Amino acid sequence: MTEVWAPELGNVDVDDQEVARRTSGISRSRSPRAQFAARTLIAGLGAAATALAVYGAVHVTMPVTSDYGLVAALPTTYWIGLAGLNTAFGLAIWRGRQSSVLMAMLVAMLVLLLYGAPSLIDTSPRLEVAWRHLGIADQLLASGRIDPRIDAYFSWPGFFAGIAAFIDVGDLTPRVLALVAPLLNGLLWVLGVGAVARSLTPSRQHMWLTMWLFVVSNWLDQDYLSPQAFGFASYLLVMTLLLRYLGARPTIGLSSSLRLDGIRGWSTWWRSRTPDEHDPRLRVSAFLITVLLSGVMLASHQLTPIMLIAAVTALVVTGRLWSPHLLWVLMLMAALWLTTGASSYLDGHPVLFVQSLGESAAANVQQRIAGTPGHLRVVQVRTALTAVIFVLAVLGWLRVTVRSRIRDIRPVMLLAIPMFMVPLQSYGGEMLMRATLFSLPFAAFYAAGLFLPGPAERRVRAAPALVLLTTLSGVAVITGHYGNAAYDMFTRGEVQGVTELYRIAPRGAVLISATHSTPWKSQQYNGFKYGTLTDMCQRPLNPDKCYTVMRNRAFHTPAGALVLFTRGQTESLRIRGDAGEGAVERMERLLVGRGEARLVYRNRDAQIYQFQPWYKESP
Amino acid sequence: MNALSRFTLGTGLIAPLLLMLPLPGLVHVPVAIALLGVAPGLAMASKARIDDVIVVILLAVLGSAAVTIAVATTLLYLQLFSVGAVALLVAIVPVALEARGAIWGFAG
Repeated sequence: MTEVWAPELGNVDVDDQEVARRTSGISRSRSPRAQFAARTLIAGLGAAATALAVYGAVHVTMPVTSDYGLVAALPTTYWIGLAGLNTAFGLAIWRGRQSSVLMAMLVAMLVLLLYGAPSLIDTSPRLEVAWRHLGIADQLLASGRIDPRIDAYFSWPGFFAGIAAFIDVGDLTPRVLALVAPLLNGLLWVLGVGAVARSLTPSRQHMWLTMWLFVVSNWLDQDYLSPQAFGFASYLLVMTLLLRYLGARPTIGLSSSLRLDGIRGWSTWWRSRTPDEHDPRLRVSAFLITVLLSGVMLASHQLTPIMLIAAVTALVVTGRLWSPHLLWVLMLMAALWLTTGASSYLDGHPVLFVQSLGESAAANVQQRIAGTPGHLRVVQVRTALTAVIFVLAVLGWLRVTVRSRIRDIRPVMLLAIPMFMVPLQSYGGEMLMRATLFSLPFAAFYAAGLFLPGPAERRVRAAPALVLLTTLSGVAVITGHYGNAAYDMFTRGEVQGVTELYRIAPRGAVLISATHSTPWKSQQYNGFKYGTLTDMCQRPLNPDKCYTVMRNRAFHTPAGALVLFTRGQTESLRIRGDAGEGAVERMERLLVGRGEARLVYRNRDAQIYQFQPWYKESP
Repeated sequence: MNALSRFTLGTGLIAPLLLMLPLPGLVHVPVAIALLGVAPGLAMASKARIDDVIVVILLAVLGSAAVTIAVATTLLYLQLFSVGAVALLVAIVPVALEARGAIWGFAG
């Protein structure tokens, strides 16, 4: 017997079979043959739809040229496939009694279509940062040591050390690892979301819906090869352990306790809690695994442990964690890491600092709203998609709370807490986005509650609306997630250009590109200095002034300088509004026209200029 | 000993040897994935008697990655990083977790 919280059931004691029967909303009388036929039909529809979408995706030609990104490049077959897959899922949910194998297959296919689309189109990893992360692992392998003086990554080197170990021990091709990482991370995340949802409700239907809604609402581009992607998956696993195996609940009411004892009543109430898991061996194991995962998170990423400590604090204070000692262990571990492994970075960089609301809004929102009309439309789609899922979450929360009269505070807290972190640190203008990612599983959990059948309903009546919503959300996710595809997906020419850059450049030279949209830094990470014009010059770029800045940087570097211009950089400058039309061409003319640099390599998508070594000697 | 225990113990004992031999990548890749990406976490899930399939999968992947990261980071700080050292130290986890049960079973 299990005490359950399910919007369909209320907080009652029922056995698992009864939960399955009642949450399925369907009678036992259907014949096994009819059920098998229905499942086969849904599986066939899902597989055919996925095959169609994959066929469409692999026929996309690079480069993506639209300001709207990948959404404009994917053919009709892809969208028909995506709609078909959502229909298959809608049918499975509508039927009620789900086969776990079928649902898992449908979810995996959705992850393939939404997280794996770029990997189906291109054989090079997208995003400069993914290439950079390979370079950090390469640097660790090449030097065999961690030098925190290189940059901040080496103060949190855990994830990169793990990648280096995988590459070295398994003879893996680093680029393949980066190429498949979004798909692997997507699968891990959706499993994590499912595990968290299952810790909050016994309803499998609710769990599958949460997983599906999470995937079709997550446009946040964090699934590439990165410590934060690993950290987020670990966070979800730790949340599962905390909610399921280390969970607790007070046995007396807080309000009555406060009425009786005043403020001391909180202590009485808090001490009355009992563990949800009665097997002490399981609790100890969960505690130790949590400590291990948390330690690795601390050594791998700045932000994830802060989110974890905030979540654990909330669970401890509200009496929903059996072992409050976990909080002190985590805080001690964090203090130890910050004063040892990360001490070099922290000399002058506070972990957290409180910002004004205006500063926070400027860093997280205003600075991102710029560019061509197409790019602005992409930003609007991202905002709208996030708003829709959170509005659905509020409505779902109301439905769940009113219908079942259950007020489980845990998912509400875990949804809200990441947002409180936004004013504490801009995190390079990404804090709002990162906080949204940590809230999203719980938003999806509540949003799913909106579509579940009521106690008297046999089937999910809202299934047609669900199919429409999830299909449109899928289109929006592709728009938001890959809205920068014109410059963050790289052509073979661009990758070849970077390979040539490393072949030509003397060690210690400064390598300059127009923007960060460059597939570089994946090798000899510490062998060169790097600069981008968007960082070196004021935006929007003035080609003449920027040329002077670039020239001065080049002539102050003893090993010289090479300038790489690529197709993606030009697109990035144009789409983001960082430079006027023809800025790169103007700089190319200045480079050659003044005789200070010469063209040393050119292909269709990349040009490399080398500042003449002799010229730095002249006045 | 159940199948999972046999798998994790077998991986822990054999994989480091295979990884240190000059075998083709076709052998190294799955062996490395089994040792660094599955075995330690699976042993943890097995010993903790976690029976939820989703949690077991997550623990197998993320628990193993955590052990690999902890070992690799420590070795890099000590400037002792090598394929053999990583493989042997990671293998200690599934072997240590399973060995007690294996010895008990053998003696019993």
